[in-house]
Amino acid sequence: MTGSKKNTRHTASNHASWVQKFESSLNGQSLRALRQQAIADFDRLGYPTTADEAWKSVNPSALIRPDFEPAIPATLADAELEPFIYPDLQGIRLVFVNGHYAPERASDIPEGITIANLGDVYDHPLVKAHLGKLAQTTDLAFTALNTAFMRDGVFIHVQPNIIVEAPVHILFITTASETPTISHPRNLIIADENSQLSIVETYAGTGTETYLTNAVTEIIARDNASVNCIRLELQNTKGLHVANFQAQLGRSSRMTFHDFTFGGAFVRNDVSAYLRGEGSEATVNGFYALEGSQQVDNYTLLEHAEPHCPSHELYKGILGGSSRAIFRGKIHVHQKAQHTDAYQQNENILLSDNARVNTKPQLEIYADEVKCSHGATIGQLDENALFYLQTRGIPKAEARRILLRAFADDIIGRVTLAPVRSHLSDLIDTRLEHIYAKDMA
Amino acid sequence: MLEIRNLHAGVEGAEILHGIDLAVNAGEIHAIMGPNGSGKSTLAQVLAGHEAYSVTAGEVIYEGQDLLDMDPDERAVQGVFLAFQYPVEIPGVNSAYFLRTALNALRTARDEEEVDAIDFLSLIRDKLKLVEMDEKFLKRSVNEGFSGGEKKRHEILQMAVLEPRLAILDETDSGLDIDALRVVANGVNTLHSADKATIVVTHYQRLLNNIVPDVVHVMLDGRIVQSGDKTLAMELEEKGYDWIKEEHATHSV
Ligand SMILES: Nc1ncnc2c1ncn2[C@@H]1O[C@H](COP(=O)(O)OP(=O)(O)OP(=O)(O)O)[C@@H](O)[C@H]1O
Ligand SMILES: [Mg+2]
Repeated sequence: MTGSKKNTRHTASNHASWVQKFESSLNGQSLRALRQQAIADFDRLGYPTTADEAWKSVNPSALIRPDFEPAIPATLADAELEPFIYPDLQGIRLVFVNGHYAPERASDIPEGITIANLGDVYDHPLVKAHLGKLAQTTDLAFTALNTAFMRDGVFIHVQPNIIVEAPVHILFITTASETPTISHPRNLIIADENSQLSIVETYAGTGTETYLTNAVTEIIARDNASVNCIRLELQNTKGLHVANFQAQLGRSSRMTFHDFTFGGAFVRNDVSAYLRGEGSEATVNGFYALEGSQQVDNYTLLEHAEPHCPSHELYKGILGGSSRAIFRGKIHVHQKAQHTDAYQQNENILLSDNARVNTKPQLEIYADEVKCSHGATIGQLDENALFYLQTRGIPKAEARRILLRAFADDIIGRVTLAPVRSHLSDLIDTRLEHIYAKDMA
Repeated sequence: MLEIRNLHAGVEGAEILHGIDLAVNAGEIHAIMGPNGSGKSTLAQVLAGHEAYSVTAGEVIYEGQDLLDMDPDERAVQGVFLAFQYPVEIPGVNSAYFLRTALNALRTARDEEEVDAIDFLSLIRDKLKLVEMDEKFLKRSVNEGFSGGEKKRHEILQMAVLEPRLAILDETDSGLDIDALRVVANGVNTLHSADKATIVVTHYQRLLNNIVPDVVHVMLDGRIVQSGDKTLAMELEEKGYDWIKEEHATHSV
């Protein structure tokens, strides 16, 4: 970050207001040093602009509003929570409303697993040791802002050799109101040696007003651990969503991540998996279905630091209206990471002439013995396949739905938690109907 | 059942069919032969309603209705079926789901009750036997990775499930081995009846030994230039198309 670049920023009053709010927000001495470093980084970085390499293709100005207030607690009616839970998912549930933990909504916690509201356990030795280690604040302004102002979220620690059968469902729900708010959910998940854990993160908004959710999740999978993550982004149509998901994999560990982006006016996802143990394996898949003027920016990094690690990455998207998707997939293979096997693919179907996709792979390979492949497609629905289905008596609208579902099911079908999978199936149907209803109108 | 009158059709800027006349009655089997590029598939696709082709003149009356006015799915509901020369691959949609959805789409449109999964399974097993196809194909994506012959059998399987009244088979015999040819011909014959009509587009007389046509038409450069009984096919097999081309050339001067 050069000094001259900083001059091009339109930061001043905007970001300065957060710097001013910082001292008063400090919640005791816990994590003080971490937060202070973060606000200093934020002060130095300022809000991103399109001049930043990492924000080149989208205009982040929607995210930068001087009138955002810190979100305040609220109670959530049962009916407001209901659309986001899965009755068939027998698991552990934690709910956060406007960034604040809602203990009355939490389910019982089984043995062998530590689950707490992060805001209550800042002094836990593991929190002190690991929080902010993966999600660095030095060059990510929103992560710096999160770290300076974070409050609640989940802390999960699974002891060695423990297999947590019950999936953990974490819900962050914003009750949008006239005053635009910002919340900073923060999660730290540590799966010790030989342990297994499944988590589902849901980010959603009720109401119709705008707000910004700025989330950070750090995951540490130690040797031989297996962590299965699913994330659903269901913000309301004016919701703004920035999320940084960082996972570190130990020797022979496995991490799968399935990211579904449906809602929000503007969504920015940073997803990084650091393969730092020999023989570890990462799967990072994403799916987005967009309409209207939605903008979604997926920025992924697979970092192969050790030998014999496979990684699989598949992002697929369906775009209607004048929506816009960006996919940038970086694969960084260190010199030491021989026998890396990295696969990356991004496929898009445009349903309207005004929808746009930018897709850009970025490969940095410093090892010699590497299998690395990448590809991208942007196209329309296959007219010949549509016609073929129609000649068999299937009406055009249904034929379209079948083809789009087949495209989406390629990702949804990989979700191993059946109740979540069937919920996703309903969600995508509703989405597609919506996209078509709008585009045909 | 089907009456095509002075049909002109083509793609943007280029007419391919230059005035087709053809009448097919219930109970009849018609064969259309003709050299590569003469417009046989174009005719078949126009009858099925492919949007890539526009009709610039003429009409097609099917069972007293204007066929060209119907969407492709509506044509299927009315009993028209096209076995494609090049069946389309549909990744991610398995054959069983496809067949059941198609059958139920037709039934729903005809105000008939849908077939449930269990009844469908017993129905499809019978049909698989007819075309001697293995049940494992039902689990595969439609036509994806099917061999040429498997694709053609799969077309006849669809025909068997959907039971059309007017079946148009576009080179369903091409690329078939001898056994498959017999299976396909047997399937077509079994499905044909007095209230149905079949149009087979083919290059080979040998198919017509198995599916005996009532009328054979020869298509040349977007026109039907000659029609006759099955002996015409034998004549073509023997002499090729040159004599027809010459004859037609003199006629049109
Ligand atoms: N979509 C299209 N765009 C441009 N030209 C086309 C299109 N479809 C057909 N044609 C042309 O129209 C002519 C007739 O093609 P068609 O496929 O109907 O022939 P055919 O008689 O079925 O041939 P074959 O025996 O090889 O299957 C050919 O010259 C072909 O190139
Ligand atoms: Mg043809």
